[in-house]
Order: sequence, then structure tokens, then C-alpha cells
Amino acid sequence: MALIVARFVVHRGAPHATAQEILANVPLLAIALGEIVLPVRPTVLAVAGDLAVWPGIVAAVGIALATWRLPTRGGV
Amino acid sequence: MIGFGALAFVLFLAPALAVPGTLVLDHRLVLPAVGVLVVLGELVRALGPERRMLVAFGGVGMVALTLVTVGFEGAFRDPGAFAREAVASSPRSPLAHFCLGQVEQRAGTTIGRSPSTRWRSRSGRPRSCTTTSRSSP
Repeated sequence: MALIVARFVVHRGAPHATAQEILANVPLLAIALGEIVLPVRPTVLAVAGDLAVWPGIVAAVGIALATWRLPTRGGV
Repeated sequence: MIGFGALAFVLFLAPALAVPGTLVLDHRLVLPAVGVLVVLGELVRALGPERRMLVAFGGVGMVALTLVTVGFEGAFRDPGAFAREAVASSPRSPLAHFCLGQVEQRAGTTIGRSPSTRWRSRSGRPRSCTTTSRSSP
């Protein structure tokens, strides 16, 4: 949240997303996770509507399961 | 540390959520990738694999990522390849179509006079951004 506010402060003249647009951009979290963990289909530039959400969901579920199942070793 | 990595991923990506539009640019994923790497590194550490297994999985992963990279680098061969790849991978992106149109214009392609705004290539074969995206590899 602080980073979003910082962006508003630094880029005062730039257009900013409305609250609805920010909420609409939430699937970007899954898309980004999928692009990082499972980069099966790279793109040079894209809009969110053309990118699959499922790789990110698969990655998130996999990480969550691994975190839950793996033994902890001090401080994890 | 896993929570820290996950938090870093979300926080580094948060400013991109505040940008209007739906354009997804890979350079905005560099900092969030740090958080993901922290999570994955911590998971590997908790798993405590044998050294040989770690090297084997790491090697396979690097080879796979190398193949993906090599297979994709043709998109950066020239502006035309870049624009065609952009339209093929993201047919709903106005910027991709604008990019392709600019490349076609510079290459001497003329815009047809028909209301359907079809473009004609030098060979005379009519085509539009839609058909270009379908025919691109």
C-alpha cells in the first residue's frame, strides 16, 4: 500500500488507476507469478486478457502445498 | 522467510497494479521475482536435498529455461518479428497492433481503401492484423 501511495506521490502528473481498476488488476498477481515460476509462453508485450491465469494458480498451490508439507528447519 | 518472500513479491508488484490499463510488461516482474526466488530458495533449503540431486534438478531447470529463451529470441531478430510476435501472443493488445502497423508502414505497406481497413503487403496479398496474428508462428 505504501508503494502504491509512493507512486502517486512521485508521479503526480501521471494517470493513475481508479480503485475499480486496481481491483480489476488483481489477477495480475497470479499472471505475474505464473510468468516467473512457469515461463512456458513468453511474450514481448501483452495485455492481461491474453495471458493465462492458471500457471500462476498452479504455482501458488504448489508453493502453498510445499510450505505446508515440508519440514521446517529453524526460523522458516 | 517464505512469508517475507511472498510479501516482497506482492509489495514489489503493487505499484504495477496502480497503473491504469491492462498492459503486462516483463520488466515490471524483475523485482517481484526476487520475492519468488526467496520463497523457492527457502523451500529448497527446507527440503534439504542431496547435493547431486540439487545439481541434477538445477541443471535440468537451467536447460529448460535455456531452451525457452533460445526458442523465443527470434522475436527480437528485427522490428517486424517483434511486432508479429506481439500480435500473435496478444491479439487483444492495441499497442501490439499499433506496433505492427508502424512496422508495416515503414516497410512500405499501404493501407487499403476498403472500409474494412485491410492492409496490403508488397506482394499484393491482402491481410489484416487479425490474419497476421493467425498466420504467425
